[in-house]
Amino acid sequence: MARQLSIEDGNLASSILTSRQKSYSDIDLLFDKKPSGDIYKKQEAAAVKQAVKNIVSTNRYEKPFNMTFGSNITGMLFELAHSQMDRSIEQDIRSTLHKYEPRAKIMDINIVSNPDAYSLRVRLTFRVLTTGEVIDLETTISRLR
Amino acid sequence: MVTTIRSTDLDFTTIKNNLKLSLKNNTEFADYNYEGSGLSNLLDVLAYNTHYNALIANMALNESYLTTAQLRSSVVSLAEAIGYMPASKTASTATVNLSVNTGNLAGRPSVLSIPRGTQFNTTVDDVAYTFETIGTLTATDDGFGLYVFKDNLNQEAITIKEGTNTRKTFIVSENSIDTTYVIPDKNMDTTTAFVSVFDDLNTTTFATYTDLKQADAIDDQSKVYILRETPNGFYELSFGDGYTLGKAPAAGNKIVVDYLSTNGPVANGATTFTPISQVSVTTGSGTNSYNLTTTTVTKSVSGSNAETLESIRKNAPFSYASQNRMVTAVDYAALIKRNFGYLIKDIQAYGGEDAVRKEYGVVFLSIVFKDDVTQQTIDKTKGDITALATQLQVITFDVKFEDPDITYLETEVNFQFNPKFTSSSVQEIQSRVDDVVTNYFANNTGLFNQSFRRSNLLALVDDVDPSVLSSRADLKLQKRFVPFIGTTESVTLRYASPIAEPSDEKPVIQSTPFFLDGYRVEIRNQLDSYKLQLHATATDTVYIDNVGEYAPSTGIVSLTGIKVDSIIGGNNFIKISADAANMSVSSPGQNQIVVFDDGPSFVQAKIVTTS
Repeated sequence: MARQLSIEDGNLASSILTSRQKSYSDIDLLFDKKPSGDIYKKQEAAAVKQAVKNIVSTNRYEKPFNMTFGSNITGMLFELAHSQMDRSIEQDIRSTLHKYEPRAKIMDINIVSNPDAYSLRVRLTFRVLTTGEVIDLETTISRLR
Repeated sequence: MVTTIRSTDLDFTTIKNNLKLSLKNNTEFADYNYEGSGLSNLLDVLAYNTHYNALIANMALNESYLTTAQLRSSVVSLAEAIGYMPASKTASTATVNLSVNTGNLAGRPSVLSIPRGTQFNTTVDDVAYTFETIGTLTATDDGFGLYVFKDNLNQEAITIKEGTNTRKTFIVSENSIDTTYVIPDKNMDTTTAFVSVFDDLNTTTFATYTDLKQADAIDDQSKVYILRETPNGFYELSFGDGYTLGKAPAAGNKIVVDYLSTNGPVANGATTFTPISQVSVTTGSGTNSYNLTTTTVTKSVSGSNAETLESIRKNAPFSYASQNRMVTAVDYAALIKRNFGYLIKDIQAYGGEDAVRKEYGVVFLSIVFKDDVTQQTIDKTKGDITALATQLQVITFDVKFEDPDITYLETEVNFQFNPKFTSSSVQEIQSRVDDVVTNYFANNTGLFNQSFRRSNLLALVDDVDPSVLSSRADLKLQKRFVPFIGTTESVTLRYASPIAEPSDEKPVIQSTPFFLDGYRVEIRNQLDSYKLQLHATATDTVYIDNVGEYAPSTGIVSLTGIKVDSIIGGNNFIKISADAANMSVSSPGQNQIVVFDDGPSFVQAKIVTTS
C-alpha cells in the first residue's frame, strides 16, 4: 500500500494553493473569427471593459427578467434636457456598475450632454480590482434621426 | 459533476443557472457569473428561448386535458369532443296568466291568438328588461267576451322568457358541404333556438329542425341541428352530412334561426309584467285594440350565465360515461343535470332495489332545486324529466320522484372567552362565532352526501379570535311533520343519524308545543324509556301515556294515534327534536340531506380569566 504524507509533513511533490488567481475570459461580442475558425476571446481587463460597456449601454427592462439591469442612458436621450441630467446619469451608472460589476472600481465619471445635437458622451475611468489596471472607457450616443 | 444540462425546469433563472452549471465544466470561459459579460448576454438569450419554449410546451400539454385546461375555449372544445355541449346563458323565466276582455263586442271571433315574441316590460333593481312569450298562444271566447290564453299544452300558466328575439338568416350556397353557420352572439340562449329551413328564398313553408341532444334516433332523413360554442364564445350551427347523421340543407335553402339574446341571471326576481302592445280584435265592422291583462303566477327565476369551467369539467365526463342513454342510476343523474342544470342544485338517483322500501323496476330521483325555483316550475320540470327519461331510457323503468328527506340540525355552541386577549366585546365575538356557525352550515350542508362534522365546525370557531380559548358543541336532530288538523293519524319520521339512548335525567325526544283538547301539550319520551308520551306543559303531567316510540339505532320515531287541534307559533308543522347519539357527526344516508335550523340553535360565551 502506497503511503503519502501531507504537504505540511514533508510531501513536496504537491503545493498548497494559498490564493487563487482570478482569470477573466469572455466571449468577444464582435464575433470575429480566428483563422482556426474559433471566435476571439476577451481576457482579463479587456473582458471587464467589455462588461462595463455592456452595462452602460443597456437600458432598463432590456434584460429579460431583470428590470434594474443597465444604466439607462439610451433612454435618457429621449428625456427632456435639464440642468441635473448629467448628475442623474452619473448616479445611474455608478449604482448599476456597483451592483452588477464587482470587478471594477469606478474612479471617475464624466458626462457631457449636448442637447442641441441630441447626443451624450460618457467618459468612465475605472480600476480592475484584481490587477489594479486603470482603464478609460468612452462612449457617445446620439439619436439617429 | 454535471455532465448534461438539466431540462426539467421552467423558470428563466433556473434555466440560466443550469446553463451556467454546464459551462463550469468548460474552462474556456469564466465570466458567465457577471451579469454584464457577453457570455451572460448569450445565456440570457438561450435561457429566454428555452423558457419560452418550455412554457408553450407546458401550456399546450395542460390545455390538452379536460382536468388541467385553463382556457374556456380549450375546456369547451375538449368537452364537445366527448359529446358534451356546455350550457349557454339561460334566460330568466316567469309564468303569467294572460287574458283579454272584449266585453260584449258584436261579431267578435270565437278564437284569438297572440304570436310568439309578444313582449312585456319589467324592472329588476331599477333596470328595465323585456320578457317575451315563446310560442303562439290561443284563447277561446267564454261566451261573455273574455279570452283566457293557453299555450300549446293547454296550460293557462304561460311561460315568458327574458331577452330580445333575434333572427339570423343564412343562405345555403353551392359547395356548402360541412358548412357551419356562425351566430356571433355570446348572449344566446341555445335552449330557445328555433331552427327552420325553407326550400328557397321566397317560399313560406319550412321544415323545423330539432336539437341533436333531443334526438333518440338518427338516420339520413332526421332533421337535426348541432349548436355548439366556438372558441371565441360565439355559437355555430351545423347540420348532418345528409347520409347517416341527418339531413343536410341543400343549396338554395334558407336557414332561419330565431332565439333569445338574454341578460341571464340579472333579470331574476321580476314580479310585475306590463304588456308593450295591445291585442287587436277584428270584427266585421273593423279592428279594435284591447289591453292584455297580465297576472303574475311565478316571479322570474332560473336565469343563469353560461356554464362555468368547473361545472363543465365536472359534468362532461359523467355525461360521456352515460353516452346520452339512461342505463345506470348515475346516467339518470348526469343527463338530468345536463338538461335541467339551471334549475337544480343537486340530484341523487338510485335504483328501486337499493331503496329503503324496495321497489323493483323503478328509478328514484331525489332533486334539490335551487332556492328561487317555484313549486309550479318544480312540478313542470318533473314532467319534463319524465319525458326525457322516456326518450333516453334503454330499458323501461318507472321514474319516481322522492323529495329530499330533510333532517334539520340544531346546535348549541359554547365557548370560553378571555377578554384579556381582545379589544372586542363578548357580544361582538359571540356574533362573529354565530356567523361562522351559519356559514359553516351554508357551505357544508344542504346537498346530498354532505355531512355535519363537529370538529370542523369547532376548528373554525376556535380560529375566530385569540380570545376564543376553547369551544364545545351539542347536536340535536330535528324532523318536522305537517299534521292534518283535528285528525288522528300515525306518522313515521326517519332521522339522518341515530338518536341517543333514553336517559333518566331529561327527555331525549321533545317536540314544539301544540293544542289538543284545549291543553297545551308536547311530545316527549318517558324518562329512561323509548315510549313517547303527550305532556301537558302547564301541569307538567302526562296527558296521553302512549303515542308511539322511538328506535335509537335506526333513528326512527313512530307516532301512533296522534292528533293536533292547532299549532302554536304560526307554523304549519311541528318540530320534533332528538338528541343525537353521536354528537360528532351526522352523515345523511340515501335521499337524505341535513340542513341547519337557526331558530333553536344558539351560541353562548363563558367569560374566563385563565388562558
